[in-house]
Amino acid sequence: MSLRIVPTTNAQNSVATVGADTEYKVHDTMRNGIHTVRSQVIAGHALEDHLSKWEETQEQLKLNLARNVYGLHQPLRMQMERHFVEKPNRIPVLKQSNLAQDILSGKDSTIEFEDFLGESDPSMYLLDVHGVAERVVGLSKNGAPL
Amino acid sequence: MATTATAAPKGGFNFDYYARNEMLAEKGVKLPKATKTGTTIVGCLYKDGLVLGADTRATAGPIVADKNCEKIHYLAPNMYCCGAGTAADTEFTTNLIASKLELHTLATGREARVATAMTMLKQMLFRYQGHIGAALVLGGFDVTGPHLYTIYPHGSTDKLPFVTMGSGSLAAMSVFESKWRADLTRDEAVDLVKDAIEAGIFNDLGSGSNVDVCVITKGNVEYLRNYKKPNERAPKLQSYKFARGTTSTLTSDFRKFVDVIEGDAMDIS
Repeated sequence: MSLRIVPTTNAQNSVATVGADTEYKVHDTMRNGIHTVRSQVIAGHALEDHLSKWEETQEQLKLNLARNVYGLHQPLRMQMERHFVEKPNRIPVLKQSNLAQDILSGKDSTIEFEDFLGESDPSMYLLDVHGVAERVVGLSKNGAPL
Repeated sequence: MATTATAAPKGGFNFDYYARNEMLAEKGVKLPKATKTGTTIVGCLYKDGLVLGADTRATAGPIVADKNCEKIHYLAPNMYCCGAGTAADTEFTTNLIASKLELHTLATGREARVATAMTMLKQMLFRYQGHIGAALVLGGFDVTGPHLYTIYPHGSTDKLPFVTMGSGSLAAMSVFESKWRADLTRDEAVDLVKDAIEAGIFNDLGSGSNVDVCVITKGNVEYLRNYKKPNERAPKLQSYKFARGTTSTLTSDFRKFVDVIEGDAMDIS
């Protein structure tokens, strides 16, 4: 059980292999969109990988600390509470706020770069509703980027 | 055409151009280098509070981009923060932390402590692993008294009675180390900070122009913008304006060559 603060750095992971998750190892164009060379040639910036795993690492650290201090029931309870409020209520391509989740993760009274830099409203883009829904329930792994 | 995208871009930083730039660099395109920055920012404690100081030169490599910029940023009514490094990064970092502190104040119902701001800053900078180029001097007066911190771009912090940051920090620190005492009065402290900044202005090429000073005491902030102007531009000894009629003209009566008539209105549809 690790008490890791900073995500592990393995840059190799960010270079995707073509169709690794399909049965015949061929790129699944129907589900993942048109094959983009970009993501297969160059690994992203080290910080990109780092930031994408940051939240998860912090959450894991919190759960592990809770387990050490209070016993296994505490992280289980925390995850159960999170699970209750995580149920998506709208079509995944529509913007939705989740105040209960913000309160549980301590984000209700703070502001981050993600909140005001860049566009985060999915309804501003032409997205494949069924594709997004499949991703949300875990039917397809790689999403085609915009 | 049917859309196939199943992931919208997330808010926050976008790294799309990184892959493109790497590809261009691989093909032999010369990418621009990081721009050098330069600043002198200082802070020191005195008997009843603390004084922050900054120069006002903004450099973009070898060019002076702004001769009179502001480097002492507002964080909270009892807290100010000097910024060195990438100007945009210090500006946005202090703005974001100011917003966070305001939200924190509203949530807790009391004035934020300096240690809270310091923790917010170091945690945010550590998260971005030094890629946000903000080197800060944070000073404030809270319920536990005056506090002075330096925060480095990677998120490490120092708490000291007198601190300097930026390329002129060595020149400024030499002044503090020779003259600072724990029992300075307000005027002595402001004068010492002015001397430290001027040491940076005159001995460091990245710093220049004027001295900004901010005095923070219990329940009061005195922001002295352009407290000292040691590099005032000297007035020109003569007037170099051309007198009227210097260039000789054959004639100024051009109206006889043109006919001004009322035409149709211009088509602006």
